Amino acid sequence: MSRAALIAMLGCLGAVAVNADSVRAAGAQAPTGEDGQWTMPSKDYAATRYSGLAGITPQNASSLHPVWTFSTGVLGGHEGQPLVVGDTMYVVTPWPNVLYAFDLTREGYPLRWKYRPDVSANAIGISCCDTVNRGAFYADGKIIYNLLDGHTVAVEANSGRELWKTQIADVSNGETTTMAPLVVKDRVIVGASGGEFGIYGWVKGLDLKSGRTLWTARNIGPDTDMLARAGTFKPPYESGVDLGARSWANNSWQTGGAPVWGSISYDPELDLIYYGTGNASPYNPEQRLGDNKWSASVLARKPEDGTLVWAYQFTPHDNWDYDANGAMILADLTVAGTRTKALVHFDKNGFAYTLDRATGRLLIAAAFAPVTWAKVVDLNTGRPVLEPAKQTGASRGNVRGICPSLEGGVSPSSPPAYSPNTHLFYTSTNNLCMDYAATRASHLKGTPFVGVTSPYFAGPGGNLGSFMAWDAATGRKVWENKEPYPNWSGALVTAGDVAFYGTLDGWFKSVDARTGKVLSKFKVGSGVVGNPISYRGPDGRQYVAVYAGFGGDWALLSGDVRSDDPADVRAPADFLKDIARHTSQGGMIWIFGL
Amino acid sequence: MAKSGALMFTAMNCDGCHGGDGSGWVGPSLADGRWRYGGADAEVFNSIYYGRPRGMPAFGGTLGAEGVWTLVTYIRSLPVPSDVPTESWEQR
Ligand code: HEC
Repeated sequence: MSRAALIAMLGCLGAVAVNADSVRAAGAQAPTGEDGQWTMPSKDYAATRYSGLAGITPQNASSLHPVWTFSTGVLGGHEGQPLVVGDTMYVVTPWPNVLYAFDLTREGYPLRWKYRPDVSANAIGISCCDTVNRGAFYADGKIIYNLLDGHTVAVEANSGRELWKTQIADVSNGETTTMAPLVVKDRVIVGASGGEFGIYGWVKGLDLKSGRTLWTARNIGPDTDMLARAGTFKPPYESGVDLGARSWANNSWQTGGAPVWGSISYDPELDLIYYGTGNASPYNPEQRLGDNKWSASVLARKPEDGTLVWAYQFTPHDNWDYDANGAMILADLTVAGTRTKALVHFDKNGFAYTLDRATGRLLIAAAFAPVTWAKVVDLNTGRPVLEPAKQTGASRGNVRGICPSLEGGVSPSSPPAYSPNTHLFYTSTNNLCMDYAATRASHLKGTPFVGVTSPYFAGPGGNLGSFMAWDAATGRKVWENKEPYPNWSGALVTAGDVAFYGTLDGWFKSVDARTGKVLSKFKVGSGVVGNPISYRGPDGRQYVAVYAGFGGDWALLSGDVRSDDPADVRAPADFLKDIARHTSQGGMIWIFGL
Repeated sequence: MAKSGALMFTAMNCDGCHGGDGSGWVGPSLADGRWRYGGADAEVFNSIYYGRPRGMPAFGGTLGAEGVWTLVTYIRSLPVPSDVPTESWEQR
């Protein structure tokens, strides 16, 4: 990456015969409330990625082995995760966004159907960071997901028939759609990527039955556009009108970014949805003086009509491309002796935040990765205490030694998990720092609006990533497994106290959730940037499924991993010289069992 | 001409998709001597003027033929490294 103006936009195994003993072992211990399915991208509305299945344990996990694989036929980065609804597994591929429905009741899991939508190839050029898709949502007999070219579709789960298709975003304006929708009652909530194209970021509420757009809420801009209504919108640390416009010099909010490309969570009691917004555009902060609210923030809204209820900004006046699109995990924690309805978020900026999810007030902010851009986050003001030497801008030239890099302390593409058993959070991390030379960017519709060169280098310790357990009630790391490469997979944790993750060089691992001890590992053929899930098969046994398929930002950053284009042969990235020795592109679904 | 092409390459945000010096990013490398749609002057011209299906916008309308030729001249002036198809991790 240092070589370029970093536009940081950045053998098949046979099915195994069913063994009656392990059926009982794997199925029996599931607590009530666990139906053994995985119907939402993050498993539940709270985005815990916790499966209540307890068949796989630290005692037996060493015998985990692949029981089935399937090539999706697509080579883009396989972020996201499959769904399991009843006896069917649903898989969405990166562009061209094929949807497969596998029959888990038959040997070899043959397809029930596949759905091949017509998705414009134009979207490929304006996908900042590979042609990824972060997953589908099951509701009301429908599989709902986004196509890369700015459409949301609803497909009948039984038949594969397209029920509706709605254009939500405009590719010619630099908007693409990679995020996983959230369905609440009869609303489908969606958003768009485009923080590298100067979009005017938004979320929309569609009607579940018809797909019609019922409301659009901007993430930045005047109160009317943001659906911030007097008396209803109460940000915990600010007051005043039009904060989303007045905190941007020269009306720069109009091209201010704040995209939505992660996931959305929901608290049914408070009736609030929570999602993070991405970076402020362009990356040269001198072109948008002010706090740039509500980019790099978490927003809480009413799903019914989009009304904004509170917002909290993690990185005011983002100088470093610190998107806040990472998962907002809802957990009830005892913080300083008080039972709290908490929201926990691991930010690209290197801090892990514990907030009160009713009000947005900050309770804890502690660095989970090396941080040099700020000293601490002030709990009274909610604001970071900045390190003056690490502020960036075109007039400041090349600012060296900023940690984390703009890949983030963790990528929002790598959602963490939370176990109510261990009370711990599990997350991948990146250990990368950067230099940041901002330059003036010009906004031309449909082309990148960035303005930075930002080479990366390894953070302290030399390892480029890790997988860790975090106590969000105290803001402390509990254990950490160092990994040689940036770790880009999501996390899964189960009631058997086993956690799962994949690595960029293609290992899929199970670890003891209490200690981090590796229980099993298997080389899955391509780097893992997807998120493992767990489900109970029709045979009653517990399984774990994950995609292998190197990509996401790494498709750009490690150009020598690609082999599908003889007309584009690139040198390795200098901070990541040998990743192509260990992995190549792929697009495989793997299922593991005992 | 190559110099004004270099300025135009940045001003039109070509570098945003193709990387600084056209070394490759979301869009393919324009500096490796290898081409999806051909490297002859007219072929490079057509790529820029009319666009290409997998996400290369058409710039003919904005830049006109003259502007596009300026970019072609710049791209054709980029130093092309010798083509080394082998990447090896073995000690030698
Ligand atoms: C929005 C991103 C984007 C922008 C901006 C962009 N390109 Fe491209 N360009 C692409 C993509 C993606 C391709 C590959 C298209 C394909 O394979 O169909 C491409 C292809 C090309 C090709 C053909 C390469 C080959 O191997 O045959 C040329 C030449 C080119 N671009 C030049 C330019 C120039 C000059 C500019 C600025 C005026 C520019 N591009 C701006 C994304 C972009």
